[in-house]
Amino acid sequence: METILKALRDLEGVNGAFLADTAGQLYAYNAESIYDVSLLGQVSKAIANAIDSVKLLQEDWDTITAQYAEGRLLVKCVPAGARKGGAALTLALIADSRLNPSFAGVAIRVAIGKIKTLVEGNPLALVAVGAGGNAVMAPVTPQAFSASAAPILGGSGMAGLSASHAPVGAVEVATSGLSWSGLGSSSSLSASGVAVADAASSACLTACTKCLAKAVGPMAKVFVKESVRRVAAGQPFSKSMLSALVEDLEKNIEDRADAAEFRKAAAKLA
Amino acid sequence: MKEFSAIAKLPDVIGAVLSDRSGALLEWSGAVDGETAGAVNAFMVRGFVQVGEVLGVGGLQRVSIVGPSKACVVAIHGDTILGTYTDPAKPIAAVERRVQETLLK
Repeated sequence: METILKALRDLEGVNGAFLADTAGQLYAYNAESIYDVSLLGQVSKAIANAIDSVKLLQEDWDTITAQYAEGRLLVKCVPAGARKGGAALTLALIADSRLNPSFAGVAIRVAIGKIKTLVEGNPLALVAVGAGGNAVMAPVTPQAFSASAAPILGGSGMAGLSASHAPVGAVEVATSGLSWSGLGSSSSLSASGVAVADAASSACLTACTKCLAKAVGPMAKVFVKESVRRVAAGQPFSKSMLSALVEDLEKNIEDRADAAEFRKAAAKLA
Repeated sequence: MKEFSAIAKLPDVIGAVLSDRSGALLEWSGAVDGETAGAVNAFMVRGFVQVGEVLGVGGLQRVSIVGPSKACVVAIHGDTILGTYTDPAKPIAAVERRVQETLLK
């Protein structure tokens, strides 16, 4: 793995390369010393968080390129294939303006082919906290590669980031005009593809979305749409389905206090 | 956003969605679920802004996502987020360039 990541680092403009899973757990890295394991752990968690939302619209994403004022981040999906554990990986490159995107594209494809060969049938190990040097591998069990495995990365460097949807600025979202705009008329199919039984049910759904937004931010609308489809099972949403909807929506809130607050606020809508 | 209709009419563009940074839909066109795309784009942008802050690589300008079934360029323009959806068979770099040029006009 070290050789593969080093080959990517050798590209002009590449300052770091790392391999993580879809939960943001770091498996290997080769980067400039300013990008230590703690920092890369934060980055991989934030990337995983962003990819979770991308997958709502594009489950089969292949490449993500984030262009910054002073750099670029390339993220490539390494499909699970026949690998043990079955979870996909992400290969990320931190680059500056000197990067040649065409060369990088070729090098990444080559690297992914090698990574696939390397990890097929062989479990990967997570990077140990506080380990020095590059492409460090800690000896852990095959279960560590499972998407549900508990991360061994942690400590102060990881604080503040979660693999789930972070509620940063959620209150601001909830009070900034968020509305269920597609749900205006009785028994109609909205622009969002969600049907409502009547105006009261529409208003109820709008209020419920705002309550949820306080905990999960702008993803509230998406979660509500998905929950309505599950709870209403093809029928227009009506206010009588609210308790089932709230129960379903609660699953999207990781923080128990936030979930309780959402439940309390939603109860007032009944 | 005065550039929105110009971008929606660019060659190879199949849809466009404009939202604010909280994910609230401002405008959309084409075969795209505007509300979902607006929220998803805003959430994704928030994630990559965090990445940029941690890496110290300056402000986020755009994010391109390519897959076999879809491709899109999500550009940050002031307080708004513009998602431009294109044919994945076409080179994304050309769309990125056209979007950038149109936004800078």
